[in-house]
Amino acid sequence: MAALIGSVADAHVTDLTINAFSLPNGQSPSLSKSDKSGDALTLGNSKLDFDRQSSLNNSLFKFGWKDMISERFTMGSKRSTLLPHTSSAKERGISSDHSTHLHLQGFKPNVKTDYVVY
Amino acid sequence: MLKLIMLSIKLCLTMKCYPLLLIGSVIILSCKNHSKNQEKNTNVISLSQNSNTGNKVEEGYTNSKNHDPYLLIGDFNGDSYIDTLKIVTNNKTRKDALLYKFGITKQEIILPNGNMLGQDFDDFNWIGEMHKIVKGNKVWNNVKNGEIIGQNQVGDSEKIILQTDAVFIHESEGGGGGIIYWLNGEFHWIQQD
Repeated sequence: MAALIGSVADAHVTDLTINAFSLPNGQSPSLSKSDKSGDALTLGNSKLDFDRQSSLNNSLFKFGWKDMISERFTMGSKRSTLLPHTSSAKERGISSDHSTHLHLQGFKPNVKTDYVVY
Repeated sequence: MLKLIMLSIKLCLTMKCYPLLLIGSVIILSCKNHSKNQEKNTNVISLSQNSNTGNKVEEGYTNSKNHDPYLLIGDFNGDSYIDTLKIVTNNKTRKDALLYKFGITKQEIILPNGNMLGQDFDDFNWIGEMHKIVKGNKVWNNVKNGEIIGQNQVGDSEKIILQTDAVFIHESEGGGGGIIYWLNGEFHWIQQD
């Protein structure tokens, strides 16, 4: 949670939408359908702010998420592109649609611990 | 009919017309086979009629209006006949369920929750993605140590070749889901994400 707060602060993001957290076995806590507020954007949608999303991805990577799953998309002159630090679900053989959200995993934060001796 | 056949045989023997007797035998055998097929078809019709009269399951449900698509067509039990799978809403509880209707027998099976699949959800209202996976495809549990793994990270021994068509269901925009397939008279669940 600290890393997530750090990421959004680092990228100056104030409108992050979290659809679900998963249990350690990969299942969602209730498997209930996410409340779709209508804010989630499909990759390639003209409303998607590519630069802001890229900035957030860079921050998420910086704060520890080394494996992010998304999908290739075309936006303007950017053809079959991927967001920074992401890989294509289809190319990995993952059946579910990842063009509508960013899946974060592979959390390996680079934590530096300073010991204070009183 | 039998008297006519016996009379024909007697006539053939009397007239020593053996080739005609042989042809007659073939025709009689052919007729017998045809009546066997008719008998088989009759049984099939009878079975489906019986199932229709006991068609209680679907009565308590209506097709879901919250899912698109809500219906899939495929051979979900592997008998080579077309079956249907629908997301339906229980008229009393308003909870969503899966309703299988097997084509030739008209047998209906309702999955009201995840219990028969070894899962703890009590409703299927969370389905946001649904599509058929065709028989013969390889499927696998794609969650290991709490993370999604790709097909290259799963050994062939851990992959299952589908013997029937299966259904992929998943929450929309993330979350989890699974693949449901029928094998040896039971439903099975493979976790996806």
